[in-house]
Amino acid sequence: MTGVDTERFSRAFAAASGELPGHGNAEVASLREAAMARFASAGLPSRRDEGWHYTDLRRLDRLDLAGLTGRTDGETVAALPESLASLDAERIVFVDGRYEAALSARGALPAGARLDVLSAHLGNGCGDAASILGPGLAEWNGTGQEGLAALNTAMTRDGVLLDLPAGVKLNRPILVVHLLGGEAGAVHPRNLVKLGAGAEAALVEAFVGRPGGAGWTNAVLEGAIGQGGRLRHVAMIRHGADAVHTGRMTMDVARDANYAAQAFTLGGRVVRNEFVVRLSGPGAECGLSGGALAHRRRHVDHTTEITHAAPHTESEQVFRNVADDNARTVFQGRVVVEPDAQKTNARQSSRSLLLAPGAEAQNKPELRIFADDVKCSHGATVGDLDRDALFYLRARGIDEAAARALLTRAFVADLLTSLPVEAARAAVEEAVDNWLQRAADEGK
Amino acid sequence: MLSIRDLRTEVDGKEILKGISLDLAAGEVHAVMGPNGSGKSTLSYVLAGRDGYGITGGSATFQGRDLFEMEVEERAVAGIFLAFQYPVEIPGVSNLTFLKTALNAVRKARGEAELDALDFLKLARAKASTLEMSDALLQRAVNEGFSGGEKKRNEIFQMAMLEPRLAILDETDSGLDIDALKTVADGVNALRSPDRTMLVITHYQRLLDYIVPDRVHVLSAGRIVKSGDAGLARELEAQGYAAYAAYAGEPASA
Repeated sequence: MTGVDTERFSRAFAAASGELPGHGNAEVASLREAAMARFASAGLPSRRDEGWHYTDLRRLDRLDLAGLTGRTDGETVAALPESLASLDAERIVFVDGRYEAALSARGALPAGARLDVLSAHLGNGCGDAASILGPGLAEWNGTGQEGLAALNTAMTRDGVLLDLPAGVKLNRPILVVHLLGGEAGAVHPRNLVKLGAGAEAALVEAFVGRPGGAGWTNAVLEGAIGQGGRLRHVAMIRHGADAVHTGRMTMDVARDANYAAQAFTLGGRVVRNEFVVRLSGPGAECGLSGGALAHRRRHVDHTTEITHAAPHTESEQVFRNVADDNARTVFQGRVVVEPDAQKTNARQSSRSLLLAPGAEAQNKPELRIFADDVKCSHGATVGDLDRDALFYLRARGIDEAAARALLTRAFVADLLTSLPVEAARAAVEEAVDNWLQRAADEGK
Repeated sequence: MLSIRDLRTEVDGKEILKGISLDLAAGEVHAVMGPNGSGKSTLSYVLAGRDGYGITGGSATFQGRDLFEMEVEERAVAGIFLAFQYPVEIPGVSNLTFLKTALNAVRKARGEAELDALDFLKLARAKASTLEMSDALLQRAVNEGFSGGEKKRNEIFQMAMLEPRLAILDETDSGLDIDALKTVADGVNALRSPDRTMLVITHYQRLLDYIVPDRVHVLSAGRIVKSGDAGLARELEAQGYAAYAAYAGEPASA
């Protein structure tokens, strides 16, 4: 259990349940009630949970759990960076967890493709509510975040539902923006992605807040990729300085299917991104990458669990974390190879860069191998900037701040190389450059 | 251009340079020769401003400014260029990005407009071709996977781009075969000019056959034990450094 008072969450649920989307639908209501009961018994994760040793959510004690107004004033809308607004994509925008049609931009989709918002779906008394809100993959496994996923099920207002039949390929990416208006409060976005056999899609999620923004985003993305399907996915976290983010992305990858995802965190006070991937059919592949650029007292945790559940499956992980000032970064990467998953190939590389004496980095690779014919490797390093390289750059006239920025950017170059959605490149690079510029502005 | 007076330095409490004085006028090429451990590289690093070298005495004045009051990058934009004995590999930073940033920093300090990407590329290609550096080499990460010769050519290429007032060449000949040595020396000679001063630091006389110095100084055990014209280098080659070890115990000046 936890140091956080779960009673507060129950009261918030009781207060909101009469107006949450689908409240009039008995099946939806009972799914939410059941989820709330699961949350009450699981509680919030605490540092006593193995997977949460490094990350402390007690900050949520001080959080106002209500206070969601869905502000769409100019200041909130201006928080959406131009590099995202100008992206050629199916754009779906949520403000404080509520769908904003006026900020969204939708085009024509191939026949059979379905791209809905959850609220509309639940409100109509859907027939497949259980497949959306049931205890699915998001509550599977033991990393300790089941409580958060259950709370998401109970409290979610909205999210995206993408359902592609076999063989359908989207030719434009889907951009899902979760904007926070900067007030205290909690939002629980819930996204569901189902790709049929051979279907292909690219999804860019952006969690964006005002510079000083607070609030808690507790996001869940659940997905399944059918045989030979392909999903490319980027989650960019650019919350305001006082925001808390817990994100859980769970994916089932079928035979010969491919999941390529990257989580890049550039904002927020306490951020936890969790990938839970199950390679369930032979030939399934996944490539996870991600990392953080963190400063001040920010805490960013990227935790992954990839389960090789079938033979001839392959996974590759590339994580790069940068911590400045008193920031702390965490990478926990667990690879599980089940007894039947012979000929598994799993690689993991995690590197951390510390830019200040007060910065910290934790790396925790973990291999659990129950098959005997597998190739698994991991490498983890923690270091500071190369002094020789710094001197070399300065000896050519590049001032120290610019030299440090150049070398820091070079450190995260592997992430930009492995960015799964090319269309997101400008937005990611802009965010990286802004972060580096901040250091230069502060004369570091 | 550069005036060094009784310079004393230490590293980890050990005195390396024991009172060096040198005067380099504009347009002159000076060679400092000496055996391993004589303090040659220390001299080049101290002038460029590398950390870890304590100045325990003396002074260095560059164009009227106290060199030791200037940060590394201030010295560079003021026109001091160190061609490294061991150029540093910097993965993830392309040679061109690096050099464009450096050139624009230098141009800014000189009060010149920054070059845009196109003009920069034109200039870089023109300078690179005379040093037989391919486009591929320009695009690659700084010195990463470069051969010894490619690294040294890259140093001279940077020097050609940045047009320094004082170039310090630290063992630029080390690790070069004779063809590469000629290419590098041609590059250096092309940069000789009445308002550019060069300090060529080398162990061997070989380089000085191609870059003929105005003055030669012999550095031994942290002191300059003899100075002369280009003939001194040939003399050294014939006699070896052992003949100068005897001077090492006595104070000397350039």
